Amino acid sequence: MKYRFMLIDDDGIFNMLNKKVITESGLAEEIIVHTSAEEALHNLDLEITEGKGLPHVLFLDIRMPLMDGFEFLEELRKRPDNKLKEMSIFMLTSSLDLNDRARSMEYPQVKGFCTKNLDRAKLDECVATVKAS
Amino acid sequence: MNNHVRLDQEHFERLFPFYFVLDRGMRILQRGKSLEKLIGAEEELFESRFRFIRPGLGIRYSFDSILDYVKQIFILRNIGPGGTDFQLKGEFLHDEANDRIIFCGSPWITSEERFTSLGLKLNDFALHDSVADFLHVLKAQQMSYSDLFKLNEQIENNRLELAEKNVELQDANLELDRFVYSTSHDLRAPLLAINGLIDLVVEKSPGNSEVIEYSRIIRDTSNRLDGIIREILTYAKNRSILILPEHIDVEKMVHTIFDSARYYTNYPIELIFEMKRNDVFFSDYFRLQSVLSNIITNAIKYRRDDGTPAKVIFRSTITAEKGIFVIEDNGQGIQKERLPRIFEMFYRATNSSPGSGLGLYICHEVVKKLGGEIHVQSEPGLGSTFTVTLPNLK
Repeated sequence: MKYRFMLIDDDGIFNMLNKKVITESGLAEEIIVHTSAEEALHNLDLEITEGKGLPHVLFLDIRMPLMDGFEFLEELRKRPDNKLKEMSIFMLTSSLDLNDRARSMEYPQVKGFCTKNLDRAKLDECVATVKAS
Repeated sequence: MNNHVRLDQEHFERLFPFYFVLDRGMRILQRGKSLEKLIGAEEELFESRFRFIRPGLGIRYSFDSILDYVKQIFILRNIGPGGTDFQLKGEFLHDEANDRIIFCGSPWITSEERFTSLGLKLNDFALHDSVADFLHVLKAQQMSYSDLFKLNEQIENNRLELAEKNVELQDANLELDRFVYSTSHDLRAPLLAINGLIDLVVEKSPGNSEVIEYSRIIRDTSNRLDGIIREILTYAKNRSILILPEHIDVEKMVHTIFDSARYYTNYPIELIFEMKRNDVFFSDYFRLQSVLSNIITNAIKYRRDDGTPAKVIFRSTITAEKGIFVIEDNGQGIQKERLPRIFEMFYRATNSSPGSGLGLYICHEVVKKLGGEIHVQSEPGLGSTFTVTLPNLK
């Protein structure tokens, strides 16, 4: 099975590197990249109204300007649509902060906490989690 | 009557019990109770009662003559009947309203014998001396009280000021810790991006040994920088985050640290783990891990350069009160004169391997925070032994 991925990170270099790892794994049906959480949210809302396919796996950075990762998760929690809840979210961050990890895992939709950089092994682990759920 | 002598008989009685009053005819009209004891109550002429001892020359026994000498000290000697030999010392005041002269004074006593021979008692004497003394004492006391009060006020003010400064300092410290923490996080992100890009360069340059070698050096350097940032993070975290005691599987922790060190090491290393335990051990996970990780990593990093495989012996003793962790290595050791300084911030005891000079300083800070102790023994060329003692926070 192939997956639709969404990457949300304000740093274009990480998006480029992560996209490459995912592309080369051959696991992706589609990779959507956003450099802001608001933009990603807007895009998800559009996909709901247009009935397009939502991403299966979402990699989310924590520290971002304007809307950070946690604010994005809060916004998502407010949305009534159940389809949005079916996405598996993985935090992908440079943070080593255990508090960040604990806070992320409070959201049932968050299935994992990865530290940068994403590599094939970490990606496989994430996908295995998605498969299992 | 002048302002300063507007006093009635009662006042004179109390202030100058040896006073007497003269009229223009130089008759002694009134006298104080104490003087009465010495000369009786009979009205008499001044001249037949007293002789001027002082002033000696020029003074005559007349009303006006005495007025000329007002405000001078007089000494009068008793020459009247009764024969008691005594002298009075004092001043004459002019009572202008009644045109009288009032002598204000008291016996001139030069010795205790003279005093007792007159048959006088202490309370025959004017109160004003002792009253004045008392007032002086009172005033002095009030002054010292007011000084004390002011001093207390000052101390209180200083104390409040200090308390305020202390709060400001704590705030500033907290702010600084947060700043350090946040900055270190922000420093890590671009560093990780660089690492990712270097890996990409290596991947895209198969067979180009030069690019691969330079990339490896860049990666090493960047890893070192990441190491420093992580150390600063640990330092800031240790200062700002509360101690959270939890049950710790020491053996598992040590093996995890060792395995992760092995991952970054390209030479053989060996771990011997021993544990004597009669209780479970509770401590702050993050702090204990950072201390043990630092010491174990050092033990591996600063190995002897003669090819001896790096060996780490970890001995722990756990009791209900404390955990004692002894980490012994067979590495380079530390020179004696450098030993006392190794826990100082930025102090580096060797050039043989790159380090920030923060590791052991942070260990020391963390151990201190946990209420424990850290000690080191070392034999240059043979190895070092670190002993960490921490309270069991069960």
